[in-house]
Amino acid sequence: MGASAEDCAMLLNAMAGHDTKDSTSVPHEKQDYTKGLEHGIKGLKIGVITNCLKDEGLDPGIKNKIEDAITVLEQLGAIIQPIELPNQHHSVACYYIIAPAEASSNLSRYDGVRFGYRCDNPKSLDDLYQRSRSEGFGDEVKRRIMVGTYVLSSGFYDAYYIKAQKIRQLIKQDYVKAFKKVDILLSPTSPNTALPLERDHHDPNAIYLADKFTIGTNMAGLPGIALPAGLINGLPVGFQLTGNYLDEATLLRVGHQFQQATDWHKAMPAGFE
Amino acid sequence: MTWETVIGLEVHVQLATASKLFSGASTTFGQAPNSQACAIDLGLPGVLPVLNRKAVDMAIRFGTAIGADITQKTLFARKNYFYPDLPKGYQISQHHGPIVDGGSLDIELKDGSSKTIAIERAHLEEDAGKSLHDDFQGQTGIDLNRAGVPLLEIVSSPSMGSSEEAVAYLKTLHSLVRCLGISDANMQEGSFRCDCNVSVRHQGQPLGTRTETKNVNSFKFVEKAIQYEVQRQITLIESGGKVDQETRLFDPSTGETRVMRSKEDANDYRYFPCPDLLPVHIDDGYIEDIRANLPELPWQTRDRLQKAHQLSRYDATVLTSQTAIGQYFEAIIGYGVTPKLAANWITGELMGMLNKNNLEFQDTPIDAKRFAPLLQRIEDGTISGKIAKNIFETMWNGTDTVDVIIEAKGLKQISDEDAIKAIIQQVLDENSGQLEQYRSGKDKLFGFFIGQVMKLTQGKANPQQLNGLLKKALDT
Repeated sequence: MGASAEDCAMLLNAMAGHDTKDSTSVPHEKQDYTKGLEHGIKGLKIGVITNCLKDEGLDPGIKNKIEDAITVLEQLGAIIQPIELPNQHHSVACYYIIAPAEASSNLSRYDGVRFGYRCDNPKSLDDLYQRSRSEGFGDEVKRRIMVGTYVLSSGFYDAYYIKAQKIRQLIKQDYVKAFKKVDILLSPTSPNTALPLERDHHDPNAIYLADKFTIGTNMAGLPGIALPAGLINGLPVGFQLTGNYLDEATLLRVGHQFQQATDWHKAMPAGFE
Repeated sequence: MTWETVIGLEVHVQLATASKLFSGASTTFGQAPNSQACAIDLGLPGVLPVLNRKAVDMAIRFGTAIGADITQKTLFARKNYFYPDLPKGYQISQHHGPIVDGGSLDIELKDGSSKTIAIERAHLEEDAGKSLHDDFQGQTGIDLNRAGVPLLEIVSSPSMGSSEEAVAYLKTLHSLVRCLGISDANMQEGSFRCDCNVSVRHQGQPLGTRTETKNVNSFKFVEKAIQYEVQRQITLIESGGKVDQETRLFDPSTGETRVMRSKEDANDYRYFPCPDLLPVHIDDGYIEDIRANLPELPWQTRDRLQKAHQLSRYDATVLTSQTAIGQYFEAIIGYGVTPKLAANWITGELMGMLNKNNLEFQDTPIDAKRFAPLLQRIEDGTISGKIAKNIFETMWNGTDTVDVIIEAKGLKQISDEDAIKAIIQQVLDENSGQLEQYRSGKDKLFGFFIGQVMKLTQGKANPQQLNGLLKKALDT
């Protein structure tokens, strides 16, 4: 979103604030996120999510880069301590029930009646719906609509949707407990570097699993920031910081301080120099 | 073995808010198609719903009036189905945790008995648009003005046993929502629509399979639809068939119901909590505030009027079926008219005429100020009740007062004893044959003499006086 944590702070200044047209928006007073970036992080407690770093799907090269980043933060005066989030490994499964459920409903409005793609010469109302949606949506969208429709269907709703929402609460509670001990959390962003373009068409599960470290943050409704931490074979590697509710300021400060001590945010991937 | 009918009603009441349930667009009825649908009502991508607090207040007002529990953490859910006049492909409604939980309504029946009908729930939801099939040869037009208008869906328990009870329940509900000011409940315009769930069973047996007849939009049609459906189901079962669970439509032109959707075609609505809306928390103080500001409810007015003016239960019920009628009655009483006379004329002549002309009570062309003197002229003997009915028709079609009409048409009652006596004498003289028969025991001829006097006086003779004087004259 920005070339640096400072850029993100300026961007957030423009974006943040209560939106009366969004009922889920928090009525929270606006603040200036660029203020306080210069404050140091001495004594700040950073919890390293151990189950993420130990995850067997994590590329060892990425793990090394993250450990380097942790050393930098330690040198800046942060206190590093291990934190376990026992339910985090459920977050991808959980997300891929809840998000498609919502998407299947959100996308219902693309029915060929009022806007969006409409098939040629519909023979009937059902034909209009079926062909407009079959022809108009891509594979991944159709996959999610089908999954979402399935998990909301009568007979399956409790077993999938309700259970996923319960697990989501457990995931959230893990974070709430962790923030009683530490100020922010640190984890990898992605288990691997960017996949080749053509892989998108093969194994959707592998693609979904690339979200395994970041989705818990979304499920819990917490702010996060991903910071560059180096290159492997010319591809960027990052790590993620997760803050407590509405504590974006601390995330940006840690990010800014890290970027004062390192230059990874200025490194360009191979071919983009 | 006798058959027993089991009826439950779902009533959709359009709430009288200025703007829609989740958008700022106007709810005014009868505007140019799609002139009152904003981006949110059209379901354009990226828009979000914001709940209308007025609609919540109205639902709470209804809930407190029927003695229901108000759900203090009430939830909105999406009901998913495809239909061209449902722009988002889902309706925002309530599933678990409806705002109004329980409650009941007491209904009055024609035989003077009353019955308590339990209400299961009432929930808020948005109305759909309208599909217009008539004006577009072979195509369907969609008008989204109605899309998003707030509805309160009131679901009764399956506890009514006849079409009479169902209609009594509907009328009670109708007068309540109007009294509360939460809906104009105009049935022609669709602000008060009824779905009838009907099943039959032998007494003591478990509930039979029910059918749902959708969107019946008058009391008369509800009565007919239920009666038809009950008869259809009984005939079906007695001839060895069985009732299918299905959705039916009432056709007013034939008085019959027909299948609209079978159970196999029923939608799986895939209800789930609407992710765009948070649960609504309603605290005790908020509810108590609304409860404290409830108006006098129709049944409270009924009991008060019945007691204060010694009215029959039936009269008191009719007079309070609409707030406007009760107010009219009280205004007439305020002029010193005898309550029973006022009640008879309002429930009889006035409401009969309104019905005949398809008018709402508040549209009466004779206001209380003009109506009261008509009744006073009966009470002070200036005119008879019969003459008054003629004058009433003249008043209905014009703007004159009763006194102007009496004067202009010379309708003043003859209450002068000597004058009446003279006319009686004239009648007896002219009808000596009948007089002889009467005196030899043919009592029935009394009416004949009354008729002759009325004929000569053009109906103006004071009937009570005439009665007494004629009797005297005949018997001497």
